[in-house]
Amino acid sequence: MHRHDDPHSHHETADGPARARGDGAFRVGIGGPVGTGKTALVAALCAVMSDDVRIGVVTNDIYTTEDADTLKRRGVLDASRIVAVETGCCPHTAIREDITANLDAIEDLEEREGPLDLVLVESGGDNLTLTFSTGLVDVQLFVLDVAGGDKVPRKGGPGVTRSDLLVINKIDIAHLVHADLGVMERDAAMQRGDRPTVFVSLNEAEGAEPVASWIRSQMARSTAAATS
Amino acid sequence: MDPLADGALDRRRHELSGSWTDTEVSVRLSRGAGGATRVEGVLCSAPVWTRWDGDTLWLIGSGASPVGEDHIRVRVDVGPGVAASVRSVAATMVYAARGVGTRWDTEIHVADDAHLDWRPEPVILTGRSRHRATTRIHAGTGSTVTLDEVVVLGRVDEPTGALCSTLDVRVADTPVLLTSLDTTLPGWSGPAGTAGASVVANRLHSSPDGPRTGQVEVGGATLLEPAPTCRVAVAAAHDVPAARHAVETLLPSPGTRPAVHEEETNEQFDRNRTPLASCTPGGLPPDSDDHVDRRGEEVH
Repeated sequence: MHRHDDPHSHHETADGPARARGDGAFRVGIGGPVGTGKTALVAALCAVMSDDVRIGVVTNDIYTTEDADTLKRRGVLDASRIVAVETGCCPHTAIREDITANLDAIEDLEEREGPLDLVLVESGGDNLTLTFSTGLVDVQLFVLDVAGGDKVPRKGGPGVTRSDLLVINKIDIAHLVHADLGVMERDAAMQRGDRPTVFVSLNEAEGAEPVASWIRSQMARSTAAATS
Repeated sequence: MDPLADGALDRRRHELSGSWTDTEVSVRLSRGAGGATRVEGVLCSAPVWTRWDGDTLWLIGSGASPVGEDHIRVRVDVGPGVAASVRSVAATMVYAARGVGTRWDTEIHVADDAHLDWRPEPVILTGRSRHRATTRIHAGTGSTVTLDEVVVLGRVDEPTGALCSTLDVRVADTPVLLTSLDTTLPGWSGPAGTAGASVVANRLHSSPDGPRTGQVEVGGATLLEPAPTCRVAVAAAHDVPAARHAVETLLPSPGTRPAVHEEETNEQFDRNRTPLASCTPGGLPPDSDDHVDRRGEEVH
């Protein structure tokens, strides 16, 4: 649980999100439209990171616990480290507007399974305006896929422009859906400036490695900022 | 010009960065030609928008804020001779704090012979909030100000967050009231504080000749008169309607004189106490020296 018995401060730095001792696990928000591979990314991240990183997962679905159940069935983590939030309404309301249910889930998870190093918060599928409250997560990823059309990065929206990392998934089928990865790369750069974009295929064994590597770098930077 | 080119892109990145909200809305109301009220200033700056309907300035929340370390400033200047109301379209939710917590500063200037009726919806403190609120009123000679502050200490089955809320009133540059509710002080919710009540309401009335009912206490509500031109009703209750009813009983809102059955309200609030407490600089994360300086001017 995030405690404030000792004075400390949080500041954004040029190197990444700054955290203080006692902030608990590093929190990564994963959002994006329906069917782009958010749950697959969570599963793949757990597979490539859980040997040396203590991970917890919070999923969000509107009416079900479908994503959490999927992750439990795939055995990517101990089932006790995967919890589901049923938002009952549009997903962004629980990750951007009133974040209480997700904070409850994270704190319960850390209290029960902690200490944890990393909590992945997966949003329910939403549209290009989806963003996480900075009160809920330290960094956020936005997941697109080539099957949605190579014009999607060009459409912008806060999910594309504000996310700390844009993940473009399913590049292995780009030729089948006539998606031009060069166009997507150009448009993503135009919309995001120097914010990073990675192209992945989560069908491949190490497909999530670029994302995992980026998360590790963010965790290291935030820890360094907190201890400096 | 390409909106993403060079400096434009840098500015956009800054706007879109994940830092907390630090914003100010500043509205000036003045008499225009023909007696109409002119509205100028920064009327909208997320997460606070305003709308003027000819009589009332409406405060509108345009985002989930305050949260984290958001700092919001709202300033309203009511010009000479203007009569205006301020309301909000919905309650303000104070969400989970991070770092030094959230802050909301309200600065109200009411010119000579102007009239302001400021009664927004409640502020609701959610469980992980740590919120500092200051309301400073500068009332001119001959002006009237009615102001409500209603605070809900946690939602249903939710513990409250932390709050230090200060009301600072000056009339004709003379300090007349400085009072705070500070939930970080020991015993704030005990018999000498809110006595377990989940709603605290203040109604301030500053005027040369304000409404009087003759009552100074109704159940858990008390009327204080820190200066001949300034009265404040303070109530602690278990829901918003009860708290509002209590302050309305002791200090009727402008243009109303509601009939009140004292026996009923006494029964309704008999377990409550006034929630006044001093706000200590150490009660919340360090603040500016300004707060400490102003304590020296406290009027009892």
